[in-house]
Amino acid sequence: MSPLSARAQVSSVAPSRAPAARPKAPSRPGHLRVVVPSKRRRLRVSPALVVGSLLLVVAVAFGVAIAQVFLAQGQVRLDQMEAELISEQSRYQTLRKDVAELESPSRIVAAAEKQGMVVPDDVVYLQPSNPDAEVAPLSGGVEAATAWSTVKPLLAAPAP
Amino acid sequence: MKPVRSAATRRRPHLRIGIILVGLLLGFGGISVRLVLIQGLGGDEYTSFGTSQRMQTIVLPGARGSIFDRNGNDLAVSLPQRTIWANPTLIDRPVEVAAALAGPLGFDPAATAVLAGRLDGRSSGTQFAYVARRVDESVADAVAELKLPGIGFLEESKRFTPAGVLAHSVLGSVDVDNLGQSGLEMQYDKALSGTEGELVIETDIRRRALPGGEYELKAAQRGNDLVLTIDRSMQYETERALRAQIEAKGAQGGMVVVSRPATGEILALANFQRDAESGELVATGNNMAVTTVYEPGSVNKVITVAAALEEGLLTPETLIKVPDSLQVSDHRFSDHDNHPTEDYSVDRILTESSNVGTIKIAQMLGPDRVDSYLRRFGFGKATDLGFPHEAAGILLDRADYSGTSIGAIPIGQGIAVTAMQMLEAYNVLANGGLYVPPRLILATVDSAGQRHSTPSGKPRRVVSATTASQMRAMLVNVVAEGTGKRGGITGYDVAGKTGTARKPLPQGGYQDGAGNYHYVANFVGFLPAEDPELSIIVVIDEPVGDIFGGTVAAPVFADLAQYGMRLLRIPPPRVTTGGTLAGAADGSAREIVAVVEQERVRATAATSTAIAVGG
Repeated sequence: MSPLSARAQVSSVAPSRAPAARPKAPSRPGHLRVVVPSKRRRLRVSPALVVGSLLLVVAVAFGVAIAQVFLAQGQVRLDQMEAELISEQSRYQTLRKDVAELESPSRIVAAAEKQGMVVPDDVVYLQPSNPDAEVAPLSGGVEAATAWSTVKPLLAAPAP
Repeated sequence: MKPVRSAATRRRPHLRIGIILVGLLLGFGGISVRLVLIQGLGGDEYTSFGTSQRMQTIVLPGARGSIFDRNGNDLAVSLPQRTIWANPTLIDRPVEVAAALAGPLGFDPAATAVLAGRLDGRSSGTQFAYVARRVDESVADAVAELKLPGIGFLEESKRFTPAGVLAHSVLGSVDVDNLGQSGLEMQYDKALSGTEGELVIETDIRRRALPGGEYELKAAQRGNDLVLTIDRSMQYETERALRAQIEAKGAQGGMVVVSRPATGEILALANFQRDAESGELVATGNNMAVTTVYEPGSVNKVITVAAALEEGLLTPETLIKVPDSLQVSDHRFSDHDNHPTEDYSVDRILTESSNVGTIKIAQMLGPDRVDSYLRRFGFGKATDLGFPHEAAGILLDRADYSGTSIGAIPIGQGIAVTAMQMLEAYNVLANGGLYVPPRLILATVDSAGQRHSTPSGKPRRVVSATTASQMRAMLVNVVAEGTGKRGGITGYDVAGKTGTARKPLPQGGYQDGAGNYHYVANFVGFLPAEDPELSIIVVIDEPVGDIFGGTVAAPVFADLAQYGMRLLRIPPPRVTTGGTLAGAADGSAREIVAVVEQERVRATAATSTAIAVGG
């Protein structure tokens, strides 16, 4: 059906008197209006979630604080160990000097003389009947070099 | 009650907001300006101020390298020691502080007064003054316990020689700032010195490192270590024997060098001299064996004889007519003992150390060849040691020879050498005619502990192996039958030569005011003669009474040779028929032990001295 024919149809059934007045709207305060409730439901936060979140935040903060404490403790320990290392290295050097002093020929001779030992006026050495017999390697040869290579790297450790 | 509001306020409700906004704007504007001033324009100043408060820079000292003997024994080491310093501007009562420090530091009143003057900040105005440098730990601890204001500590390294004055003249010394002043400490100062490092750390107010703070380390570099060719035991024995002989002979001093001829390695080097004021015998810091020259006397004859053999002018058996004196230019040279004119073999000339015979051989050579061979044997120039203040010796230019030079120089007068040069000349004969440069450094060890061997110097030929062999045989005769008998030791063939030279005096000439001569006695040799492993020179300066090299210097040689053979574990090549084992005809162990026992009984009965029997 076309719009024109519909209007004609309405006109044919309408009463011949004046239109009735609109019903009066109910009285309301000036600027207030009805708010249609949203179809979306209000988000309801669970108290347990709130408490859990708070606990989590506190736990994280506490964890960070603990980590910081451990870090600080570690640094203090590191400082102590470094100080100890320096002290021990110094002690090692001092002991090394002490050992060298104790090993020095002059001290050994003095100690021997103190015990009544004397240097003989004449020394007679025995010798093997077979001069071609195998003899030990010379001092300062391979023996010394081997001992050195073992010990020296420890002696000359880089300074801190 | 309701607050009263003005009409304007009631009329203009946003006025308050505007005022607050303006206030906030002004406030934030001010803060922003301040922020720009602090962070921008004045940023550097505040940054450096903040950095200085929390950043600490610690200087890490680079330790000086150690010096070891050939077997790794410490001869010189550096240890950290505490130095006490003061900030005088923080000390209100310097006299009291000085008095408090005097106790632990052991200062006498005079030293305490000097210290009080240094600590007086009002007069000095300085903020730093040394109190005592490199003190012992106990002293530093005692001072620290006093907790005196303005007194601080810093660490410095100090040089120690654990074996005392052993090899003092070789090692040398360092000054208060650890700079080498003499000897190897001076020669190798650059290698031994370490490089300072630096540690930059972020600290809290109590100077503790901040966790996670800045940490920047530039590690200190330790100096290189030196490994010497010196053997500590040999060095000790050398010094002991030399000192004992100088004392016994009332001499003014002496020097000994012990070396391995084949490698040029110096095993021991000792120098003693009497103190000019006290007359006491001291281990001098002057390495005289390298820095001081002397007229060698008869030990120089081997150069002339070797030159004549090398030139093919004669053989050891060639006979030369030798009178007991000979006029050369304006001087008459004579032998030690009177004798009729005889035919001497070259061997005999050397064995009996005939001056006249040697001069006649030199005349056969001529001055040019004499001069040439002296230089080829290493005289007239310093050795390759490069030791500080090493002397080149005094050797006349050929053009400066006088008429008597051809007589004096071949017998070791009118020429001056160092003990080291003379030993090297004999090493040429020990090495089959090769000159092997001497050396004192066996290796260096870098800061990472890596050892770098120092190669031997390049050898050069001086005479042929044949000449060297002939010379060795003649030098064995010198010890076995000639003037050097006291230099022999049982079981080994020793090659050597004695020398007794008049000593030129500082004022010129050889005679002092009383008309007396002063002598230098010396002995040079090596063993075992057939395959030399050890060479030794002994020089005794101005012995009193007994002046001869054969009786003053040779016994020291024998002592050291015997000790050296044992130290180096060099067995005797054979049993000789001389010495204390003469009874052991075939060298069997049983006979040797029997002879040793007889010797022990005899010696015990005669002198009540012990006899050590060792291998």
